[in-house]
Amino acid sequence: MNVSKRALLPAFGLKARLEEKDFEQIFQQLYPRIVEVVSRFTESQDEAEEIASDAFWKLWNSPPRNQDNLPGWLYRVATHLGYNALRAKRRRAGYEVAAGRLIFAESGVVDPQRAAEQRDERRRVQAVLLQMPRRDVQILLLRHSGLSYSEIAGAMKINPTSVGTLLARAERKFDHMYREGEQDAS
Amino acid sequence: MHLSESQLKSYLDRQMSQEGEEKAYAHLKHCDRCGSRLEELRARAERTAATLTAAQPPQLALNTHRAFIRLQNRTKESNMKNFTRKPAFAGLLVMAAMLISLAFPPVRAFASDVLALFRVDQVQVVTYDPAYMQQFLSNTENSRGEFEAFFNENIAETRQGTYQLVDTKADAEALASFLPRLPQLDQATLGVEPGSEIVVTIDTTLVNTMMTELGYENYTLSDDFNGKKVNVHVPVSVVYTSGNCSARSDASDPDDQSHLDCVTLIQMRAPQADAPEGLDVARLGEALFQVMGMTQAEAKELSQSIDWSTTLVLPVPVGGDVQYQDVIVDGVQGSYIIEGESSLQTLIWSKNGMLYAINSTQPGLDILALANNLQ
Repeated sequence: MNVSKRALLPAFGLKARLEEKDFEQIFQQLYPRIVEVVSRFTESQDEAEEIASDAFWKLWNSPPRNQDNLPGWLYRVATHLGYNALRAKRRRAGYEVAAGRLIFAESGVVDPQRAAEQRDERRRVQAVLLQMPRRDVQILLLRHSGLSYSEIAGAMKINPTSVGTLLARAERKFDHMYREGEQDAS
Repeated sequence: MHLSESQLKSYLDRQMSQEGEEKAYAHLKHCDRCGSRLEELRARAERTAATLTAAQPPQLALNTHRAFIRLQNRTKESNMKNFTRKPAFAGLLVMAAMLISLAFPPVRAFASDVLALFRVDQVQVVTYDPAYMQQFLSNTENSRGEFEAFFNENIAETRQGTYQLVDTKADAEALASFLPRLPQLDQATLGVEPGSEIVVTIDTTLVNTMMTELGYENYTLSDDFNGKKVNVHVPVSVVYTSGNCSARSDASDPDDQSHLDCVTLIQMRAPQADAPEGLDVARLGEALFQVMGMTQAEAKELSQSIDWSTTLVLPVPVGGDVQYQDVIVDGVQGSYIIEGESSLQTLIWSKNGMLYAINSTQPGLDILALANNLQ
């Protein structure tokens, strides 16, 4: 039903929704990868799934005008949401306790000692991520979730030739800040 | 010549072209300095990877199918709840109105195959208050399901080709068979969108259930129409854009401000439709206007004042920061809609058998002047 979809919707600032089958296909393909990327920001996979689901929800509900690179769009939106969620969480009181409980409840890790270590590690990493500019965090996480340079370029709307430089810079910052934190801790 | 950090990094990540990789390899074989920089990058990347992996929350088996079902449910719920605020629903309304106006023309004595022909040559905006519709529709849960079912099951569209970018007006003319009239803006691109054929199959049970549910038993359709087809022909359109909209603009992307600089002009020959004889479109229009908040008397008066055989009726939500006014544009009457907060302006008019729509997100742009100076 595309009278207005193709021809008139844009004239009203309305955007064409994806065909349902195309949407489902892209969901099937990308959901696990989006969850993986986003999980770096979260305490649990459930939380990562929620954020991933929000990104797909946006794709369905207010799709981008330009639909040439939907995977790129999804990665961009999902990392943005993930970063914002992490920020918001840091501001919320009582988070530490709640998050700790969540890990024991859901991780299946029997050893509480080990779970606590993992959680601390995650907090340290997330604290570092929060101190970095969002674009550095995006490039870092996208690359370390296995995206190619050209996929990253598409997701971040940057020139593929600058991915190497930006990524090296982001890794340098991360590594430096993380190691600095380790020294402070010890 | 040493390798740059960018080159070393892409070499390390195996993201170079084969040729680039061979060159880098040849250089690295005899350059200790680049070799040690490479090692430094490698060590850092490995540390980073290890740290990030260790910090990932425990991975559980992912049930993508279940996640999809959940999302679907959420989509359904939200369609119900946020009916009037969602652009998609506004789109649905536009479509509904277009279908009613395009697809159900008054009777004309045509051949035995009971076809009536219709062609848009004017546009009329009918405003409505979204808050009212929200309230109205919240009382009619079931009909919304019917409404969706109608769009899902009874409408088939065939797009006749794909969108093509063209270089010149003459190229556009060759594809669209009319010479487009264009503004003169920077960074403009020109494209041709293929035409579409839309076939709507009338399901009287569905329509009548919907009408009854909405409280319009008097507006139901005779069973004679069941299974009859309505054909809508949407002609080829020429799409002119300026600014960043067609390239990499994305209003739903929080990073992206470039959509604030997007102007689109769409023009096409007037859409046409043919439909079974005997459908009383004025009556259906009357029902629609009541859904949009008019009293029965108002709805009847307006519906009867509209020449449904030639008028494209566009429902526009007004209220909040959306305003609408009639304007003289391009020498004819047109409709101007402005949405304050997003500085979204739309102008739509019909002239000499052509339908035009300009849409701009560029704050302060005088689209009326733009429309008056098409060449």
